[in-house]
Amino acid sequence: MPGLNAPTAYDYVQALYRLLAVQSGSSSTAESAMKEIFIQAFEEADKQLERLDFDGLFRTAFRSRDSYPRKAEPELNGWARKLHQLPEPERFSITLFCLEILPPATIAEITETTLDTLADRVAKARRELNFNLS
Amino acid sequence: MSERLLPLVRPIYETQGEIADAKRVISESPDLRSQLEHQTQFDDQLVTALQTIALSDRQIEQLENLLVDNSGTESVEAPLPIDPIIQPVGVPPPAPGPIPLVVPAAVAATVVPEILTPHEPPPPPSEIKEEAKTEQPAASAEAKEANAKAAEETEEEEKEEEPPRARTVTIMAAVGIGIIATIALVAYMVWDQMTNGFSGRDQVAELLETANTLNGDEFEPVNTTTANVKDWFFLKSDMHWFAVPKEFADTPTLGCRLSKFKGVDIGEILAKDEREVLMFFFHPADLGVKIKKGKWAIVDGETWEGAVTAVEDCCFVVAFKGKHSDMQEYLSKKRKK
Repeated sequence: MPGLNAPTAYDYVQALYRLLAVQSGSSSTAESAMKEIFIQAFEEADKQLERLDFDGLFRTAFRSRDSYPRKAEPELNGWARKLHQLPEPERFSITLFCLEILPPATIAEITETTLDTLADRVAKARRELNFNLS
Repeated sequence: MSERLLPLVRPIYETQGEIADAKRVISESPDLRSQLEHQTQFDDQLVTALQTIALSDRQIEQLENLLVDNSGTESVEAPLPIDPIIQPVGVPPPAPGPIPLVVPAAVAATVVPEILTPHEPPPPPSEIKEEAKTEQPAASAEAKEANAKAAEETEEEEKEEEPPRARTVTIMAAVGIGIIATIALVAYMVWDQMTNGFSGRDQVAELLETANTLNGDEFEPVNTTTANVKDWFFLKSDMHWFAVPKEFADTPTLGCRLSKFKGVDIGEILAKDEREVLMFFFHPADLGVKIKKGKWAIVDGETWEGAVTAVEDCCFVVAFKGKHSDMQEYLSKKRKK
């Protein structure tokens, strides 16, 4: 059974980009937002990568979750496009959950809620993605 | 209570505190187990779709450059043990190509300026004496003393000046290093060709680039290991020759699909162990690939890095977006397992 391995800085950067791409629906917006968040965190870490608060990257992204309105024509396909169409905070919650970079307890902390509420949000998001649990 | 966490149960999170408890409770109920299975399969599609969104190597490099721009020299030289890709920000790998060019340039930079701007040779003591005689025919004792001093200084300067023999040695050493570096480079290229060369490399490189068009939706979710998908492919397209190298037999699969490349059936697996990888399977003769069984060769695509080998009657390619060194490291780890 796979486990949650210690992610590398590269994994965090890619995950943050994916999250922002789903939120913004635009690769260029996601890239510039990712750079902005990462550089800000890098400076706050005294410009030392090993001191960088990687979970904090997603905390910052969560704070700005409402600055990315749903687009009618996002630059995304398939499930990523459907994820983009979800309302917040369900969109953020299920996307971060499916990025498999942080444990659910940390996702709950980042999204300023409890595990139970996070579970509700993820379940609601699945329902809105037309997934009906029997 | 634990059941409420069912939406958060996924294989990757099953070792996490309350999720582990929830999984235990769910495992005891057939209904919940079935619900979880359904949910996991659904989430696998989302995970796969998200994994297809990725920054390119160039974009990662730009970020690394931004970090370099934002940090001082100390940060650049400081060890960054977190990640092998971010790590080389300040220490770009040495390119083998420029080696022979660098050495002659270094020679030119260090030696030529000395030749072009030689030191003004001091006049010999005899001339100084001559001059002294002309200007001051009735030289005083002080003048003689001054002349003697000047002569001594000139001698000292001559001693300090690098003798021409030393320059020759420097030039010879530099040229020697240049020749050795060139020979080493040629030897490396020959060795690289011998170890990595195989027939059909271009076909594999082209095949790798077909992965650029994938977004993950194309794969049918199949959660098992690579060793167990032979039947899946056999049912789809008589791939009786399908085989997996033993190093990759236990890799967990996320999805499988059958594609056509130049009219040839290609089996593709999206798998994830320590990193997400794409695997291609085809009959080597179909694409004119000839590679020794068990021998691994790395193919550098434009965006994808692939490693090719032959196992039984099957050509196997494992690929991911990364660098040549990433693939070398990945293969090395696989071989050790």
